[in-house]
Amino acid sequence: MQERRILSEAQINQGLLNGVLGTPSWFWKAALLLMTVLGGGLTAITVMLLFGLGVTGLGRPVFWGFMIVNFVFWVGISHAGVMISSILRLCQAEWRRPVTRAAEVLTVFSLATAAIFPLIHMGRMWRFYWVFPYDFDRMVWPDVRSPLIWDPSAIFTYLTGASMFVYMALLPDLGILRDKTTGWRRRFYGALSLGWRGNPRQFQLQFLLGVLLSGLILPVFVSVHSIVSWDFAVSLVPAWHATVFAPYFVIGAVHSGVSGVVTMMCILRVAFKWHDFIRPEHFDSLGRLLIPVATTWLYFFMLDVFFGIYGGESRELSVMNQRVFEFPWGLMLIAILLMGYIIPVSAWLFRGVRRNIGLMFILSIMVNISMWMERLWLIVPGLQNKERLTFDWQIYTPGVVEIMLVVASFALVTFGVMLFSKFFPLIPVWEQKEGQVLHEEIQIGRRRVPAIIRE
Amino acid sequence: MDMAEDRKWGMVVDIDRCTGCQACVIACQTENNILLSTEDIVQQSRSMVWMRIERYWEGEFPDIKARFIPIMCQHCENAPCEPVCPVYATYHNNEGLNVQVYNRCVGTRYCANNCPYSARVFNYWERNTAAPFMDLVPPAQRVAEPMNEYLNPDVTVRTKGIMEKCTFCVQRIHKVSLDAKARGEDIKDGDVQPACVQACPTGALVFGDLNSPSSKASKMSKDERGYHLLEDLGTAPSVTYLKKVDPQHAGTPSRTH
Amino acid sequence: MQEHHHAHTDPRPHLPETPQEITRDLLGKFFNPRGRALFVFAGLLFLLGIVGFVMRVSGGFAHRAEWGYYAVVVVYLLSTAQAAPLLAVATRLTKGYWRKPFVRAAELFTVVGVVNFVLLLPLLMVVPPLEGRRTFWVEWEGAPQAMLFLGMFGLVVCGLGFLYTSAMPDIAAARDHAPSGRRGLLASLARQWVGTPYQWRVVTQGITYFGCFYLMMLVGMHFLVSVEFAISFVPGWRDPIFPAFHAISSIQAGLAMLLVAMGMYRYFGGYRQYFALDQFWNPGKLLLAFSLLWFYFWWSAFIIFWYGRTPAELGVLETTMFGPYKTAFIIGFLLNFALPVFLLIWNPVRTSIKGPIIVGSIILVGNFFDRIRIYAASFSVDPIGLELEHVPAARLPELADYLLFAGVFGFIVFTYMLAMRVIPPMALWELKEYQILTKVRTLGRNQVIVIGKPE
Repeated sequence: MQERRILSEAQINQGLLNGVLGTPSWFWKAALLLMTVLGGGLTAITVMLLFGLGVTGLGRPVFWGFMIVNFVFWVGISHAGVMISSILRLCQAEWRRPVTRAAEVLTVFSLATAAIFPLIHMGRMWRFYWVFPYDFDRMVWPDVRSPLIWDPSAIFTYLTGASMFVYMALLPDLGILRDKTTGWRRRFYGALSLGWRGNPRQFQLQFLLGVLLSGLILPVFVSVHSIVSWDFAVSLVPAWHATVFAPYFVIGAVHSGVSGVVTMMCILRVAFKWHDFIRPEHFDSLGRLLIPVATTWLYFFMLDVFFGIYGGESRELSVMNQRVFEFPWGLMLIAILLMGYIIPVSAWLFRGVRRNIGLMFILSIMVNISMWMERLWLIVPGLQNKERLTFDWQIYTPGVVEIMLVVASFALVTFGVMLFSKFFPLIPVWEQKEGQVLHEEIQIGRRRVPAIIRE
Repeated sequence: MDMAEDRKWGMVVDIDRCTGCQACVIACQTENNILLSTEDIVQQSRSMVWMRIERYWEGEFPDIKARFIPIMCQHCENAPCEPVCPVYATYHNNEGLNVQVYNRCVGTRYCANNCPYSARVFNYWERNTAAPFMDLVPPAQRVAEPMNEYLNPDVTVRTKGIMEKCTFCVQRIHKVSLDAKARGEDIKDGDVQPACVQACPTGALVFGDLNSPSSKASKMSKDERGYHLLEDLGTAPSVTYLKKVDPQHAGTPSRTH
Repeated sequence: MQEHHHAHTDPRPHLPETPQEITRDLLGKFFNPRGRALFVFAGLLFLLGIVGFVMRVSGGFAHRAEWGYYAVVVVYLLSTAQAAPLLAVATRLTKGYWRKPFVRAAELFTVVGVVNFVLLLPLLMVVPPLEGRRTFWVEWEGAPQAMLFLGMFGLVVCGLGFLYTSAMPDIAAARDHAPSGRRGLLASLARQWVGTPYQWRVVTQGITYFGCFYLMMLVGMHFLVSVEFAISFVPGWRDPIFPAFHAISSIQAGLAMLLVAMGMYRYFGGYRQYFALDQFWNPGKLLLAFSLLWFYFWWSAFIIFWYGRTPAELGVLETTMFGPYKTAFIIGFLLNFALPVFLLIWNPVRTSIKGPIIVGSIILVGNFFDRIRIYAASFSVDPIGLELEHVPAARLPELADYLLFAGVFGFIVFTYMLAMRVIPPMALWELKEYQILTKVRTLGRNQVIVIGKPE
């Protein structure tokens, strides 16, 4: 059932541009809070720089901990934008319209945040540029066999592609904003809008660009998280060395990312009063999408766990033992399964739940807590019980610095999206108008049924 | 005259002779400028040891036995730590050593994760005592005067943020190599002795050229008691361990440990 | 906007109205002289296949290596014919309107499962005891056989239920309009269908549930077959992604089989007006995606094994890819990935009707060789131990195997055409639903189809 109100163009403009042309009441308070948390994050990084990584909880043999877990988590969240934008655009699904830009922006900021973590994680982070092949004089190259070289290539490609995607979809709205503002804002939007006039030729080119970018970014979307997963899978660490990691991480990323988009949509609807634009039918569709995604995630998770115990290899079994029976890993496993699959998917099967904004908000946050824990459950135990040399087994406890950095990363992404919303509308105005034009109703028997035009 | 390319340095560890006295650990620490690990550092699971003695208890009281395995970097032919370093800070040289280039290392610690023997150690703390707020750094990890007097001038002192590990005392290998070349002679077996080998009171550690059929290390590595650690991983280590012979089990098919 | 119903410019398929047209479209079209000739030819090959089957079974179950190619045939049928209904299932859930002409053509493939079930039974006798080899079923002797039996049985029953539920309204239509000779069998199958709302609800919900279960059981069956007949036969093969690779390559081959079948319907069966460009273009896009996924899943396994360089993993690579069966692997790689992708990314191929059909036939051949390199290889090695000691030379097929290969065509085509005599191959009720929900309108100067979305 679609409950849309037919709005005039002026109403659409006013409703969607309220965040850009005016300032919502909560804006400065939220900005202050987030900047405080960010300050804490910066302090943590400075402390790590000054004193070395000793201030974290890392040791030997657990050399990678919370920061890498967080890195994988944010790369995961960044996958939602492409999933929703490009795949739904290629399938011409109508319900994508309010969701695309917010998801794409979430992608850009979460990816940028994710990229910070491998950087600050390095022992000598000021030498990070050695991973780039720039030294032609001395011919001192990076090692392309290393997954840590594949990582930056993949992430920067994805970041570039996602940014281009956001920009391409922004063009018509930049034209609207240029026409509605004065002074330095007009010049700013004018420069960015590249002379957008909204004539048929420009719309055709923009549509073609959208289709091309959607098609091109899909392989990037699959390969980025696969490459991040191969950071772990090509190593010899038990519980990491599994062939299933690539699609497992990708589908986990989609699961976590789409849930992140649901969370964001709930917040946006309330914060900007967009009740006419973000409607229960969108949450209904997102929930229905999440059911097969979550089930596929569960399939890969089960494959990983079963083959962990397949064959009875002692090095794998000792890690699996730890992950199932020791505290806190056993509890974490139960929480991951309950909060990541059993409760959400059982709930999403019901239309009433999918259309309830409050419930969708809670369920989506539950999913993301579970996915963060799942990354932790995957990464740390394999290092703790690395080999049958039990003398070297150690326990990892995170330090204050790491917890601070994780919290600050959430603040950074939120702050980025918030800052973006001050300059550009988070729902594409032109897409909403296009949806109105294409919207139809037809009479079937005694019912008037909403319909869509297909050529 | 033998060429460097023909040499393959290797070690043999006779577990039957090892008493767990830790002389090798101390010698290694002194020779290679490894910082002290006090109790608080060990509590942080960051003990800085290149050569460690693993001690395993077997049996029930009163038949408890302690087994000692000295483990250091195995200098694997098929080293898992080498392809994963993004900046080529670790590679296999033509003498069969797995070398660590300190000034190239950026500290991603991937090599340490990939080492199945946990042979690699990371410098977690800042060394420079002149930096402000140094109370955060455990005292033992700062090289304050007059402790700098004990440092070995042949070996780099590593700063924070880089990996280190056993090098088979590469500085000693180079010294003997260059001396021999200057004299126009070959390196004789036993000329090169890493610090641990030199310090071991029972002769449990033997070092030499595995490619030379006459060297003691080469002969001992072919002993019937010989095995490699974690052989099924296919890392092809250059260190051969000789099984301990239990008196009551002598003559029966021996157990590995 | 005006509502015109131009009979000659209506882009939707023209549905039959008179009883003779209905019966002809539902039951008669395929059995023109060419169709009959195909039926007889397929029947002959079916008989040859039976001869091969008898020869193989009478050869005894002692030497597992001899059964390698037999296993290839069983798995090939599972991968192609039994996976073909999946497109009908998936598109039902995504509500793509372009699926309606071919749903029945896809569902009819489930009858081939009956033949495959019978073929599977002797293979269960060849499974070696659990002692000394790596499996899941730690000490539960006979578990692999039981699980395979139950899995295949369940899959076939579910598939037949799926077909029957979906075809019910059309069998009733055929009963109502058929000439008196055929009416009896159809009436007993149609079971007093009159089309009450309750009956319709049973059919639509039944299709959804049967369809979802069929999908899950097929994925589960691929898991069982790939683990019990491939992974557990090769010592040291621990590969969590292999069941997923198997399922993905099967979905790709199922799509290919459906495309080839649609081509037969259009060009030889006389259903030209039902199978238009949309019915080939959309599956063609999916075929491109799944061919890329074939590479992705294969590469995920390869890179982990190749990078890890442990002796067990190198043994697996030697056995299944670069050793005695290298030729089969290369052919499979080229025909499953290289050729399909490079053909389908070219617009003239992908946006045509013949293009996807030809690429589909290429993939059907490629899938066959891919199964050879997996199953002929895994059946030929000694399953005992932790690592592969020795990879035996490649076995070539014998006479019984060649007869079975010929029989594959017969098993699929003869069984399918036999089912077509009773179950209508065109889902007229779905097409009528499409007619009711759509209107043709003029938008500007174009005729567009407006599709109602009552959900």
